[in-house]
Amino acid sequence: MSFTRRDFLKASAAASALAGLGLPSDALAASGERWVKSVCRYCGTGCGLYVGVRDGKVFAVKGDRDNHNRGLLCLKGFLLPQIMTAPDRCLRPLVRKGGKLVPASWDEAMGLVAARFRAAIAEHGPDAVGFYGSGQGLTEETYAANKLFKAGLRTNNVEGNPRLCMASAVGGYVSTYGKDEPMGCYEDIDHADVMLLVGSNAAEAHPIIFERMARRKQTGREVKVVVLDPRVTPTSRIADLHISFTPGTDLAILNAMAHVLVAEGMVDEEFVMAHLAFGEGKEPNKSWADYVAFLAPYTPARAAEISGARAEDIVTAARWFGEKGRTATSMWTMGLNQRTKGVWANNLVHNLHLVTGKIGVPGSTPLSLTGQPNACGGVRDGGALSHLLPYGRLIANEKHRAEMEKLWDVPPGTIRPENGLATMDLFKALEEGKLRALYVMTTNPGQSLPNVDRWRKALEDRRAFLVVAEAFHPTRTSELADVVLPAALWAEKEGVFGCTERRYQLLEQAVKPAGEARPDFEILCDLARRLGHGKLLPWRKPADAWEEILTLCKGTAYDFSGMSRAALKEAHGLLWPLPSPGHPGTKRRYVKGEDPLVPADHPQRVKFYGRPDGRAVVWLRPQQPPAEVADAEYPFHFTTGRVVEHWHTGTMTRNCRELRDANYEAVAELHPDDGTKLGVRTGDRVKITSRRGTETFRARLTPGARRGLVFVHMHDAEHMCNRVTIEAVDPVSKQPEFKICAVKVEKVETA
Amino acid sequence: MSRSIPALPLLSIALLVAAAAPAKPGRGHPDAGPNPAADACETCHRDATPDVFREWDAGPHGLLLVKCFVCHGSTGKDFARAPAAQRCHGCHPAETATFAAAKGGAAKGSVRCFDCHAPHGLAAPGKPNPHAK
Repeated sequence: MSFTRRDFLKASAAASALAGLGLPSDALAASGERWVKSVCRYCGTGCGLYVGVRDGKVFAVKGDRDNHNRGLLCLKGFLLPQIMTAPDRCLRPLVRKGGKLVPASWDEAMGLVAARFRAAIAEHGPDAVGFYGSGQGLTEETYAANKLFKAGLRTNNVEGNPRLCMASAVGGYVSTYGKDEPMGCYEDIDHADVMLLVGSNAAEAHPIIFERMARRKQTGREVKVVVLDPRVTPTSRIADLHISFTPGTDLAILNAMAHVLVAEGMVDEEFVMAHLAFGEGKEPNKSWADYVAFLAPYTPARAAEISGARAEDIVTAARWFGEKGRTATSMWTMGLNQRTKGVWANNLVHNLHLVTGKIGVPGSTPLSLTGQPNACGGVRDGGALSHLLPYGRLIANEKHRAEMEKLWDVPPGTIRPENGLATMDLFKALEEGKLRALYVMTTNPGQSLPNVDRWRKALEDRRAFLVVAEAFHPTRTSELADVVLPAALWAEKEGVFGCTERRYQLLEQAVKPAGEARPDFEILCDLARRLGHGKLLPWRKPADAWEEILTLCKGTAYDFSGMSRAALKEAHGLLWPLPSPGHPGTKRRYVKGEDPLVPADHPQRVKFYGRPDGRAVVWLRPQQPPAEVADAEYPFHFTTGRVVEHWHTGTMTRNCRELRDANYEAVAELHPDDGTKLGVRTGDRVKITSRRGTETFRARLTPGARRGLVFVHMHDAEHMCNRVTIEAVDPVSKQPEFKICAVKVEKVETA
Repeated sequence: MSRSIPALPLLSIALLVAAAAPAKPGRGHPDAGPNPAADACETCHRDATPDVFREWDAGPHGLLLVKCFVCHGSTGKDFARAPAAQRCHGCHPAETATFAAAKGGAAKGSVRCFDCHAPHGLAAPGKPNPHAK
C-alpha cells in the first residue's frame, strides 16, 4: 500500500486546501510550521516520522506514510515532543568538585576529560581507558568514538549496550551464516503463512511490527501464529497457540520441533544437501546423520517433561511451521538473546528454517527483532564492540586490521591485535582498578547493568574517572559521574539510524540543541583534538564522516557504498546491500536476483556467501539450564522486560506526562495462585531477593503470569529490577542472562 | 490463550483526519495523577465505563495498545474528552491525504473522524469508504 509520487502530489494539493481548516499538511509549511523528515527515537522498528517545528520548537510528530510503518506510530513515538523540553534536560557541563556536581564551562569540562584520559594512558597504558556507547547513538557518533579509541588511543576497549541486548543474535547469525544481520525484511511478514514468535512481546516492545503481524493475521489465508513465552502477554492476543514453559527450557522445545520436522517428512532434502553443513561446539564437522541422531532423544514427550509444555502443542507448532507449501517467519527478541545459552537458542531457531528450506523466499525468514534504534547500524555493522572492526571485520584477523589501518591511513600495527574487554569484563576491570577512565555515551549502565549494585559501588568508590555524555541529568549513571557533558537530543542533531531490517535512514536536524548541549559527534571530535588525534576525526559535520564510512563498507558483505547522503535525504529508508548509486537496495540477502552480492549465474537460488563453503551451519545445541534456576531457598524464577509505555531506563518516557501517569512504577507481576500462597494481593509490597541483592516492589496479580515466575520491568529508576538480576553471560556472545535468575518473594506491607 | 482478533481496519478504511475541532468544554476527568496502583486506565474504567472499555479493547486500538491517553491526554486538566484532530493525524497522516483527495479539497462545514468511526471501537460499518487505496 505504498504511495506513488503521483498520489503524493495529488494529496499534497488537496491537503493545502485543507490547511485553511487549520490542519497541518505534508508539503505545505502552513503558518510557519516545518515538517522535518526523521525517525522515531525509540525502538529498533525504526518508524519513519516527520518532526513538526514551530517557533524553533518541536510541537508534534506525525508518522511518515511513505515509510515501512505507513504513517503509524506507537504511543511512545507519538508523545516524543515532550522529551525535548523535559525539566531534567542536562543543559550545562557539570564537573564534580568537593563531592558534588557543579556547573562548569565546556572548556573546563573537556579539558579535564582530556587530561584525565591522557594521564590514565600515560601511567597505565591504553587499556586503562574505555568507551561504553549505545545502540541509540547515531552511526556517525559511534563511528567517531570507535575510530578515536581503536586507532587513536589504541585500545580495543570499545563496547556498547548492544552487548546487553543483541550480542547473542549476532552470535547466532555469525555462527550460522558467517555474517551478522537478518536476511529478510518486514515485508516477509506480509507473506507469512505461519509466524513463530519466541521470547518476544512484540505488542509492547515492537508495536508497529506487531501491527504488521496482526494485519497479516487478519488479511492472510489461514495464517497461524505460535507464541512461545512463559508469560501470556498482549502479544498472545493474535496467537492461535500459546506455549508456556519453564524459563530456560525453550532449547528442548525448539529441538523437539526439529525432531518432528524430521520424523514427519517436512525436511527439504534438496535444500539440506545443497546448502547446509552441520556442527557441534565450534566446528562444522558433523553430518546430517549426526544431526538426526542428535535430535532422536528430543521427542515432544521428552521436551514436555523438561519444559512443562504440552507435547501435543509442540507437535502442532512443528506441523504448522513445517507444512510444505506454506511460508514461515520466526521473530524473537530478548527472551532468546538475554540468556547464557543465547547464541544456542538463536542457532536452534535458524535450524528450523534451514532444514525446511523456509528461508530466502517472501514470507519465510528468521527475523531477529532488534531492540534499539541503531544497534544494527552503529554498533553491530559499524564494528563498535571490543572484538570487531567496521563492516564485518574482526580485530583478531590480521588481514582485517591491515585493511582498516590502510583505510584509516594509520601506520601498520596501530590497531592492537588483542580483543578489548566485553562489557561485563570492562566493568569488572573498573571494579578491580585496572580501568581508570571510562566514557559513557547515550546509555545508563547505573540502572541497566545486571547485578547493578555491584557496579554502582565500584563507581561510587571512584575507582575510575567517569565521563557521562547524556541529554538528561540526573540519571542513575550521571549522578555517579566525575564529568557530565550535556548532549543534544534526537531532533537536535543529524545522523543515520539503521534498524532491524537492514534499513538505514537519515534523521535530519529539526531544532537547535537546548541550552549548552552539543551533539555527541561534535563532543567526540573536540575530545579527539584535545587528545592530539584531530587528524583522525577531521570532520566538520556528520555528513563528512558518512563519506568516510561509505569507503569502509565498500566491497564488504554490508556494502552500502551507494547510499550517498543525498540518496538518504530523498529516500524513506534504504535497505543494504546497496553497492552502487541508484541501486534500489536489497530486500532479501543471499537470494539470487535480489542480493547484488550473489552472482547472477549462481546455480542455486541462495548462496550463503558469508561462509567460505557457501553453506549455512545447523548447529547441534543441547538443552542446558540457565546459570541459576529456582531451588528450595530461592523458589521463584525472576524475569525482566519492557512495557509499552516506557523505553529502557525511562529517562525519556518518564518525562512524557501520559506515559508516566499510566505506568508509574515497576511492579512485581505474580500469578494469582502465587499471590494466594504468599498472602499477597495487588498493591501489597513484596521484597524480592536473589543471591545478589534485593528490592521492594508493589505486587500486581496478573492472570497471564506463569506460576513460579515473577516479572518486573526495567524502566523505573527508583525500583530497579537489576538489583536482583544475575551477571552470568553467554560464553560466546558475553551477553548477560537478564531473563532468568532465582529469587524469593516475601510480603512486607499490605496495601 | 487464543482470542479472535478484532477486525483490523485496512489502510483504506482506517481513521481519517477531521477538520480541527477544539475539545468540547464540559465534563473533564478527575486527576488520577501518577497512581502506582493503577493499571493505566483499566483499573477504574473496566468497571466505571465497561462498554467503552470493552469496545476499545475489542477494537484495533485495544489490540495495538493505543491506550486511552493517546487520544484523550492525561487526566485532570490535561484530559480531552473529544480528541483534537492532531491526535488522529499524528499516526494516520495517510488517511488525511486520501480523505482530502476523495473530498476534492475543502470540505463544507466541519467533518470529524467520529462522524463515521465509532469512538472507541473505531469501526465504520455501512459508511462509504473515502480513503483511496
